[in-house]
Amino acid sequence: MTRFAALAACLLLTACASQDHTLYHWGGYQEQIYEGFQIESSNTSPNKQLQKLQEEQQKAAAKNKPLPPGYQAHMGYLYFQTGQSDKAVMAFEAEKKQFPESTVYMDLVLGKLRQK
Amino acid sequence: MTLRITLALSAVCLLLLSACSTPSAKPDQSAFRNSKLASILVLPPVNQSPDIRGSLTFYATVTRPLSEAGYYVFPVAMVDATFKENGLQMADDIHDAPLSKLQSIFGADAVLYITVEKYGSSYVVLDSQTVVSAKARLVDARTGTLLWQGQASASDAEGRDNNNGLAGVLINSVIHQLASNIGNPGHQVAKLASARLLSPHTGGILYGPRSPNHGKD
Repeated sequence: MTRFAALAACLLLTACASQDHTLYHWGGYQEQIYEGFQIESSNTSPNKQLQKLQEEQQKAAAKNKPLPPGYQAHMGYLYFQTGQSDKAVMAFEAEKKQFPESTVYMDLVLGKLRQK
Repeated sequence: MTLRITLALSAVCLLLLSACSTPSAKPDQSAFRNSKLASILVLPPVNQSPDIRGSLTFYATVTRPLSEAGYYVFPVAMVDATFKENGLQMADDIHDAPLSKLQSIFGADAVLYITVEKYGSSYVVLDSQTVVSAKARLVDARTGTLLWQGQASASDAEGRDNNNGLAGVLINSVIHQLASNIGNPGHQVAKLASARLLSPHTGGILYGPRSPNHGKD
């Protein structure tokens, strides 16, 4: 019985280590990157990707957990691809605000976007 | 007696927790430690395998381990598009780009160069296995100093020996996902290889400033 309890505790520990102690709400971001690369034949599109990323963005906000690095920039890129320049600008600004490390790149992208 | 069992199980627990990291002697990582890097630009991987899917499949798996290690990781799909828009289609050419040029576009503290060495299925007697192996070099974008290099691989055959006990069970869960990913079986194996290559462990990537473990390793 004790043995079982300890084993259960052990499994729980290892499960915790691999799951809930993440810094960010991932919500399939990497799967969207993968789908976007179109490595396998799939029927994804920038609009479908945006929809999924928006849903996960809301879940992250509800959990009060930050979005991972690149997430909002990736959304900006998809907004740009779907002709929603205003939303793209907002997303790139949001990335910059959350991660000042992205400033040089985001400013370059924002500069090009504003030229258009 | 109970205490002994608990102790033994704790040891198994520890082994399990550390099973994924490759054991090695603790190397000198002072250059890495002193670099104070906060952001990593991962370039599209060079692919040495015969399967052209190797590069982008692996590229799609690098963001999570490095971000969870505490670094800012540039958005890989956008980075890939930026290179293509600037006429750099091939990863080999991108890897040859001067650091100063990369710096002016991205402003990254460090650049990670990945080479996918093996990607795909090989057929052995009565069985097939999917193997992904990759090596990586982390270079300080400001000075060109090599901060770290490493290598890791993963295979879907790892969990097949039933003697592996709990470790086998854990790896089997990966295999299980793999069954539902028939189109590109290397994808799940690549995730495992990527996590091994790019998660902090002895001799591996150190924790970055956004991790609570930063400075403790």
